[in-house]
Amino acid sequence: MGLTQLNVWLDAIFTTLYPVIVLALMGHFLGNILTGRAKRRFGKEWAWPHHDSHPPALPKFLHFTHVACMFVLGGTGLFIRFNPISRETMQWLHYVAMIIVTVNLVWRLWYAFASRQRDYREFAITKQDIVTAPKVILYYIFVKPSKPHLGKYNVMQKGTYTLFVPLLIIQAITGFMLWRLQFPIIDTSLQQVFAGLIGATGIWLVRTIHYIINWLFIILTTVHVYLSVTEDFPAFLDFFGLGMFDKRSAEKHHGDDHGHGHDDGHAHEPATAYASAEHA
Amino acid sequence: MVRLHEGIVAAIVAVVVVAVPAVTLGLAAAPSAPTAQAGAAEAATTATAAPKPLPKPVSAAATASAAATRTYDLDFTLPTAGKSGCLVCHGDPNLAKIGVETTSSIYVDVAQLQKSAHAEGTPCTGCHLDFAYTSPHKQIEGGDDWAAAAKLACKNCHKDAFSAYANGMHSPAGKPGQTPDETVKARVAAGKPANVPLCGDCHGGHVIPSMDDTPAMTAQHLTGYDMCGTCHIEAAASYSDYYHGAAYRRGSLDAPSCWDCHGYHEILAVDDRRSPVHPSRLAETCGQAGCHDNVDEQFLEYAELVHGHDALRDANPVFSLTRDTIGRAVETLRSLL
Repeated sequence: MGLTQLNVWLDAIFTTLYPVIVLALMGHFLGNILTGRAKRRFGKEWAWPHHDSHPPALPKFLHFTHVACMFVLGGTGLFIRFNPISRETMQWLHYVAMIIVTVNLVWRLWYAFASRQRDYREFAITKQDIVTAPKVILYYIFVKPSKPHLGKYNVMQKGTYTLFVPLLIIQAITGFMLWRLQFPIIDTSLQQVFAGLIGATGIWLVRTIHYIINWLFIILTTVHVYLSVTEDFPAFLDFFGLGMFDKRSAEKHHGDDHGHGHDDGHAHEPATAYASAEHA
Repeated sequence: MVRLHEGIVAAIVAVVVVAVPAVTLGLAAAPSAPTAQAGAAEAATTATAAPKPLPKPVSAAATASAAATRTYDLDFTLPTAGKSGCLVCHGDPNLAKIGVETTSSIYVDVAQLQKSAHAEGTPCTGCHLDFAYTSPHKQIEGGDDWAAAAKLACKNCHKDAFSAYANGMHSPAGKPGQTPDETVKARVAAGKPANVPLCGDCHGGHVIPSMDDTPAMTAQHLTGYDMCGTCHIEAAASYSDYYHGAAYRRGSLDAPSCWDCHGYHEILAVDDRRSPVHPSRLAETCGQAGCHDNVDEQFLEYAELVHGHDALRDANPVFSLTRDTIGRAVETLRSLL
């Protein structure tokens, strides 16, 4: 199969696969409804995992800008590929977002490995994670009612977030190799420079890799958003500075302000069935 | 502003040109009426009764058959050296030509004309060579199709461009030894349009932008689907791959127009070794400034996709399956509703 056919096959695979994944997530939510998880979480019981601490401001800020830029990058990436409108504006948005994401990535890696808080251990997959991985999977497919709690993130989260790093690095490198804006004075672009090194076919391969990873990010982000909302909605709200919409938070304020006791005291307790469950 | 000539309308004429300036210039209406009616009646007869003849070859169309200063049938003289004379009538937005089946404006937008490349130094008669200044303008005897004459008049100044054009596929010239009529018949017999595109068919008439007019040239860059696609319908429809056709169709300025690959003026067949899209020249064409750098042989494989994207996609089993499945689902839903 030549690169020409590969181009068409990639579109065929990903434009078919993505709706299938969305349908699968809809099916999964149906599972949440049928097993009663959705009612316990989104209903009166508001039974979500309890967290002892809130995410610090900097990771929250980085996460927020990262999410916003990833949506822009995914959307504009597809716009550039399929050209539903003129692509000049899309390219500009794409370039701006990619710079922010690259800066974010460096900042987050510094935070994880070199800052005072250095939280990289929270993402490290341990031997115990691997041993308990089947149980986590069984929980997500509704075979088990809870999943083992080993740390802030479960093994699937750790795997996904760790995978994001090399994917982001590859995407940043390939993205800069495709940078078409002409630099002033030297009157050339990064794409032209790299085309001189690896040839037009090399740039074509780079574009193909960039396109595949773009789809991987779109798929992984979709799954991440779905699981964040359905598995730990309060944490999802908290990460976007919307913690005031967490019912537990509202009740806490209500109690603090008026000194009333709680009829529904368990809202402050760890959710019984999911006391050990972190958001996905 | 324009008063349609009553006699012409009553006779269902082919051409009506009513001139307000006729009054302003003190033109007597009576002498012009018979001329106009006769001309119109003749045109109407031709349009309704006579079988449509093959178009005349255009090779001789741009030759002026009358001096611009010839004696007019009408008793007035327009200042033909400048544009003001013609624009006395043609600057009127309501000026129209009423045909048997269609009515078309023959208004010339002065503002656009002033912005065009020919705003200065080119009088109307520089391009409209074959006019008798009667009202309405009749073909002067021995003249040819006035529109073709105007569209091909560019050759009188743009000699290099015309030479290149005459060497290409769009040239009206036939094979050596062929008469012009034989050339037209041969073209029709080969399934080609009888008429070849003349300069004006691609470049337009009164609004040809100056090369210095960047916005206008930018706008022209995006006119390929209209300029070439009007005749090359299949080629335009199949120009739909990701980074070229699809982007171009949506107005991306960095996407190539037809002539960026196929060349211009000297348009050659794909199998002509001199053509920029001949396989032997593709590396050079794809590697031209502003396009792809360091083009190698493997890269040229992509050329298949430029006009073949839709066909390749249709041949893809996953796409076919998805399309068929969605099609069946839609049909089922329709039948249920």
